[in-house]
Parts: sequence; C-alpha cells; structure tokens
Amino acid sequence: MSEIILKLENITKVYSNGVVANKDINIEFGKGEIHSVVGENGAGKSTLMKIIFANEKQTTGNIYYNGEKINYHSSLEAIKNGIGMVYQHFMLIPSFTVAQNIILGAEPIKGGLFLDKKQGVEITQELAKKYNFDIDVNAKVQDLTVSAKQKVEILKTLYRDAKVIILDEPTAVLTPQETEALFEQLLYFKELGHTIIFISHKLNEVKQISDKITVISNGETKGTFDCDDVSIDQLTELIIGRKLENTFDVHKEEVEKKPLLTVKDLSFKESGVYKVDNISFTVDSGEILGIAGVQGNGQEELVKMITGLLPQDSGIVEINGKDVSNFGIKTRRDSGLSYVPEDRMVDGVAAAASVSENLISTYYSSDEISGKFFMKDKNIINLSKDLIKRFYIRTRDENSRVDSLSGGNIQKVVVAREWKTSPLIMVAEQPTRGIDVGSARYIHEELIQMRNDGKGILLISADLNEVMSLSDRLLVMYDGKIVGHFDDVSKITENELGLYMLGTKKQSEDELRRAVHE
Amino acid sequence: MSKQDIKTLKKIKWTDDKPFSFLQLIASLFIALIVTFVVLLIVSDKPTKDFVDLLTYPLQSKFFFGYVLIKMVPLCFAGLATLLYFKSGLFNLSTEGIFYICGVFCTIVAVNENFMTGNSFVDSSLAIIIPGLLGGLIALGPGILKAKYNTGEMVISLMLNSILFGIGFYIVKTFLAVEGITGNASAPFIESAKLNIIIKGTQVHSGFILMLIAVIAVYILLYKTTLGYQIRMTGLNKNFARYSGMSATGLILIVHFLAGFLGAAGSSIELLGIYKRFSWTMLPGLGFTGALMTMLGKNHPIGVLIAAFGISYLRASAQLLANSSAVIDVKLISLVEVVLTLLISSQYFLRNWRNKKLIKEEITHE
Ligand SMILES: Nc1ncnc2c1ncn2[C@@H]1O[C@H](COP(=O)(O)OP(=O)(O)OP(=O)(O)O)[C@@H](O)[C@H]1O
Ligand SMILES: [Mg+2]
Repeated sequence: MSEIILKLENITKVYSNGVVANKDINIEFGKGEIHSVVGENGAGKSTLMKIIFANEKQTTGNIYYNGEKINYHSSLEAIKNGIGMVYQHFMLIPSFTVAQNIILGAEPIKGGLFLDKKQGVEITQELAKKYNFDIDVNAKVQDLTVSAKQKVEILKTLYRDAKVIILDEPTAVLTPQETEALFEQLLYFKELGHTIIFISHKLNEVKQISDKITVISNGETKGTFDCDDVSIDQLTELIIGRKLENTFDVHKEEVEKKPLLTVKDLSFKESGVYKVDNISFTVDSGEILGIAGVQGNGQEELVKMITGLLPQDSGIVEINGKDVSNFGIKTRRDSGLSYVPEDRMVDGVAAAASVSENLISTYYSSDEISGKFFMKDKNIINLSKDLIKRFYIRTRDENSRVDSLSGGNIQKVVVAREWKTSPLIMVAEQPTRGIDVGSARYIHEELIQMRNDGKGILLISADLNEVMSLSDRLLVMYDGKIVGHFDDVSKITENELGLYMLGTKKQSEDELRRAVHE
Repeated sequence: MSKQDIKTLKKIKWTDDKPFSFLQLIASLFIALIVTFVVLLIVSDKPTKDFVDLLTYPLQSKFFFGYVLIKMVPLCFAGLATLLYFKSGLFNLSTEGIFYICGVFCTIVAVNENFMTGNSFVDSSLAIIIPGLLGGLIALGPGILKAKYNTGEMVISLMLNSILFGIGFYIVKTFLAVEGITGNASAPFIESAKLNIIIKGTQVHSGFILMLIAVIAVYILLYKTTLGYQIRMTGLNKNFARYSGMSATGLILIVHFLAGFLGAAGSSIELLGIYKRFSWTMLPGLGFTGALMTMLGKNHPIGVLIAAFGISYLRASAQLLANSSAVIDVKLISLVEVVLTLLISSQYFLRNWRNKKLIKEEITHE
C-alpha cells in the first residue's frame, strides 16, 4: 500500500446557518494516487475540499498532512505547503489578464522589487503550451468562455506546483477532447508522485481516471473503494440510493410543426474576425435541436445573440413568428423564450439573494407573483416550495441565501426557474452542468416532456452524451460556422461527430441548407 | 403572557442571522463604549462622571430626550436616501449637496408670502414637497449620466456636492440674505410653514412622525413591491437582473429620483422643524453620515432608524455636555462612530463565538 500523504480524521462541519455538511468523515489519500470523491449534489464534497484547502474551518476533527497534524489559518498557508485547489466556482479576477491571474500572489520579481510583467506572460505561455491548453494569456478573464476560465483555474494551480491537487468538478464544462488532455496531464502528475483529488458527477470519467473512489452521501462517507472493485452501476446506487435505468424513455410524440425559433444569416464580428458567421437554422415545436462543438467556436456568441444579450451585426432572430432582432431580452422572454445560461454565477443567480427571490426573477411581474404594486408573498412561498420539491433542490428552506447552496443545487435553481416560465422555446446552455446523475436524469426527462408538449428546445452542451441522447436533430459548429447537420442522431457515431467538431469534416452547402425549415 | 409566547421567546436562536446581527450590534456598542471610557480615562480628570454623564445625560430631562429625537430626523432621512442608492448597487453620496440646496429651495418657499395659504398643513406640505421634487430632479442628473454613460457615481456625486453648495450659497447671499443679521441668513420662515410641536415641553415636531412614515415606506418599497425587488436584485447582481429582463436604466432613474426626494424632504423637515431661518453656511456632512447610517443599520431601513437613534443619542449628549465638561465634545463621538463602524461591518466579529455555539447545538442534536 502506498504511503499516506493526507489523512482526514473525524471531520465534521456545521455551517453558520446550522447545516451539517460533513459528519465524522475519515479518508486517507495515498501519495501518487488519483482519488475521486463522488456523491449527490449537496453531499458535502466541496465543503470537505475547502476544509482541506483551509478555506473553511472544520468544526471538529483533524487533518494530517505528511504525518503531521495541520491547522492552517488560510488557503495561502495551504498553498505554501503544497496543497492546491481548483474551485467549483471560479475565483478569478475578471479585469485581470489570464497571465496576471495565473501568477497572482506568486509573481516573478525583477531586480528584487518590481513585477516582471514580460516574464509573467512568458511563463504562463509556456505553462499553457506544456499542458496543451489552447488559451490566449493576454486576454482578460472577463472575456473568456466558461471552459477557458476553467483552464485558467487549472493552470493557476499547476503553476504553484502543488503536491496535493484538488480539482472540484474541473471537467463539468470541458469537452471530451479537453478532458482527455487534462487526464493525460493528471496521469503525468501521478507519475511524478503528486496526489490528485478529483470530483466529478460524470462517473465514466471517474472510473477511467481513479485509483480510489470515496462515496459521500448526506455528509457521511459510504466507504472508499478500489476503482477496479466497483462498477458504474454500483457507484450510482451508492450515490443516489437507488438504481438508475441505463436507458430512459425518449419517445417522441408527434405534434403540429410550427417554427418557434428561426435564426437567419446571423453574424457577429469581433476585432475583424467573424465569431459567428452567417448562421441559419430553425427550431420547430416538438423538437430538441442540439448544437455540438468544442467550446469557443461561436456557440456562446450565437446564444447571446439569440437571447438578446449581445446585439447581432447582421441577421434576424424570430421567436414564435415574431421578429425580435431589434429587441432586448425582456421582449424575447415575453415572446416565449427562456434561457438557462452557461455561467450560473455570473448571469443565472443573485448569490446573496434568497432561493425564492432567485426562483421568480424572470416572471416576477406575472399575475401569480405580483399585483399592481405589491408582491404576493404567500404565492411566492408556495411556488418556491413546490419548485424546491420538484427539482430536488437541497436547501434549508426557501429563504436561504443561494450562495449557501451547493453548486449543483444552484444549477437546479436556475433550471427550475426557467422551466417555470412555461416557455415556448428554451435555450438550454449546459443545463445539467454540475448536476448529479439522479437529478440530471430528472432534468432530461423534464426537457423531453417539454418537447412532447410541443415546446422547442435549443440545447447547447459540451457533454456529447447529453446532446446525442436528447437531440432530435443536431448541428455541429466549428469556427463560427455550421459544418454539419444531422437529421437522425442515432445514425452518427461519437467519433464521426468528433471529426466535424475538430473541423476535419464538413458537409456540403446543400446538406446544410436543410437546417432551415421554410 | 401565554405559555405559547414564552415558548417562542425561548426559541430565539442567537446564532440565526437576524438575532445574531442584533447581538453583534449590542456587543459592538459595548466595546465602543469601553473604548470611549478608556479615552476618557486618559483625557479627563473625572472620567467616571464624564462617562456616566455621556450615557445618561439625555435621559435626565424630557427636553433633552426630545432633543435626541429631533436630531435623529435628518440622520435618518440621509440614511434612507443612501440606503436606496446602496441597495441598488450605487455608491452615491450626493445627499450631502441635495440636503443643502433643497434647504435653500425650502427657504425660498417658506419665506415667501405668495406661496403661503395660511393653512399650516398645506403650507408645510408645500415647503416640503416642492423642494423634494426639485431634489429628485437634481439627483436625476447623475442618474442620467450613470444610466446612459455608466459614469462613476461616487466621483460625480462628490463633485455635484461642491457645485450644489456653490449655487445654494450664491442664492442665499444674493437673494435670501437679510440685512442686520451676522452671517448670511434668510428672513424668518412664515409661521404657517413651520412644523408643529407634537410633544409639549420638548422641541419634537411633526417631522418625527414623517420620519417614521418614511422608514415604513422605504421598507415596504424595498421588500414588498415589485419595484423594490428589482432594485435589490439589480444591486446584488447587475448581470442577473439584465438576464432576467429587468431594465437597469429605468431603475437607476427611479432610485435617483426617490433618493433625491428623501434627502430634500429631510432637509426641509429639519429646517421647518427646528430653525427660525436659513443660516447654514457649510455642507452638513450628511452624505457620509448617511452612508454611516446604512452601514451601522446593516443595509436595512429599520436598522437605519435604530442607527440614527443611537448616533443621535450620543451626538446630542455630547453637544449638551459640551458646555459643562472640558473634554466631551462631538469629536469624541466620532471616535465611537468609527469603532462601531469597524466592528459592525466586520464579518469576523463574534464569528468564532457563533461557530462554537453552533457546534454545541448541532452536534448534541444529532
Ligand atoms: N457557505 C455555506 N453556508 C451554509 N451552508 C452551506 C454553505 N456552503 C454549502 N452549504 C451547505 O452544505 C451542504 C454541502 O454543500 P457542498 O457544496 O459541500 O456540496 P457538494 O457535495 O459539493 O455538492 P455539488 O455536487 O452540488 O457541488 C449543502 O447542503 C449546502 O447547502
Ligand atoms: Mg460542490
């Protein structure tokens, strides 16, 4: 058995609002092992990691690092001693460049006094290259996509040369290719004797990369397993306490076809380069149109133009037959649009507001919520309770602040709200990002139900499994253009899709034109 | 008290957010007073007496206590105006200048026979509402700049304060000042415009009631109306508000207008309540004091009311004692204010205590 580098002994954590997030947790992490921690949303994984990283303090219990009992007062101390962490929610400074963010707190110094900017840029460039992350180190973080931000977070931790690397759902927004690249890196680190603690809801990834797997449920450990001793099905059962059917009901009901979202010749140019290049497609009632693609190929901009958060340079957006090209998001929402945004913490919630305040933000002026001036508190409470139950949002009550929820539960708040607006067309960007297998299944079922009820759904996801199993039709985006359109998703393989996503293959104009329904 | 009542009383959990805030407030106050005492120990030759005086002087007569109550009125209005800004995420300190210039507007109305009807209700209302509306309109200036060009409201509001003071003082000197009085003071306000005394034997005027109404109105606005909901959400996360379909432009304008109105009304009420004539020759310092009230009041209208009372109590006490004690003056109170602000705005104060208590409770519950 390998040497123990980190040992948790009877860790219990009670948050100030009285939530018991961890109960008597005992785990041993070996040197040079990849150790996954899995569990439902709100099980207490992030909390436990924050405790190791000295970002939260355990209420009782001890941590031993290299055999010594440690009691760090801040994460800075943890970093100094070789513990690094990539948070589930980004901790980057938006107005700083990628390079500045990465070297922050450990900047190269010139002449003993001044920051060496140039060297900082060079170091980060090298770092990115070494780990095969394609990223512009001079870009400002606020302009990056979510997956790019994730890469910056990972690089930041790698830069500090941590002996123990904690990764809290690093792959939630990465594409399979990017995940592969990251895994290669992790394996390399493991060779070098680093310990990696890995959190993910994607159990196939967990199975693929781990040596050990610890399951946490309701704040308690259900045991640590050798990866080879447990199957994905067993893990699922340990995590959600029940079996999950491998296939689920995606049957389609025929509904009257009617275009709900039409996009015509949509383009967006940034510093002279087309980010979105002349894109046209239609989403009909009763269908889920998926968009696959490596992140950063124009999907974000396309979605922002459809939802009205970004003015298009040219082209037309129609929602339910109404031209909304020149209107903002309010008008579009009023016309029947709802939108699950990519970055839940930036757009999706007001973190310091309560769960119920977050659950009504997109339809607060409806009759159900508001009279002429006053809000109907009773209705808000009832409706919140209902949504909390329906979407398994784990929270103390509807008055808890959203930032006291776990990442996956925050995501559920966003999805529940957008579902509740009873949209005609839902634009769902990574709708199950960070959501555990059980709840993800539920959300998928809700999406399918919506489709069968005659709604339209535009699904954008880095999770190929998700787009392929839910979509009725599929578009592939590469370099701002649509390069593939598939009427029957069951006829394509993941590999083939990959070729389109990487721009190696492209369909003819004729084939692509079918994406538009006249 | 019924058994039920006793039970719910017992059930107050000091570790819950609101009781905890309250506890924090009391503890902060306690520490601030200890600091004051230590300072008195150093500077005073009869520290205990001075200290006791400072704490109890306003309680020694009805008149003194009344003085505390009227002195809290402008503090509270300034606090409410600033609260509106802060809640919507704007760091605007223009209440300062608005307070001054709207005092001037109020004077223009209240010394002019032509505006007055003789009915005291109508006249007071006019002398409060007209400057109030003007104050709202002035505040719209930075509001429009913010909404249209996203200018930094902090800097703009500080510049605006100087400008408003300049204009106001010019109006006073050239149009309002009467001869025969030292300094620049206006003619006396017409009797019917002044606010009535509501408690005999004190100076407490009907403006005190207006203040209470304003507190309740702001509370309802913020927490019970759709508008308030939008204001709060915008203040917490602008992106989220936009994404949800709220219009920031409209909100920014409304908030500026309301805050301007509140500041101006506070100014007029102060003037018509306790002054005979307009004689301010300086900015009142209420921009920062307003911010102080919101901070001490934990960003809540009721909190602002309590903070205004507390600060007014200490300031009034110091003012009243200034003649009889060699060391006590309003500057000493600034010290208390600073200590209080530091403690109350610190997230860490008492946190360890709370954590320990929680552990005990939760673990034994299990
Ligand atoms: N700052 C906080 N204050 C109060 N409660 C919190 C706080 N952070 C988390 N919690 C609560 O602690 C519990 C565990 O949360 P944690 O974030 O550790 O879950 P998780 O396992 O990481 O879940 P997810 O998979 O959704 O990220 C949840 O019930 C959550 O509501
Ligand atoms: Mg988490």
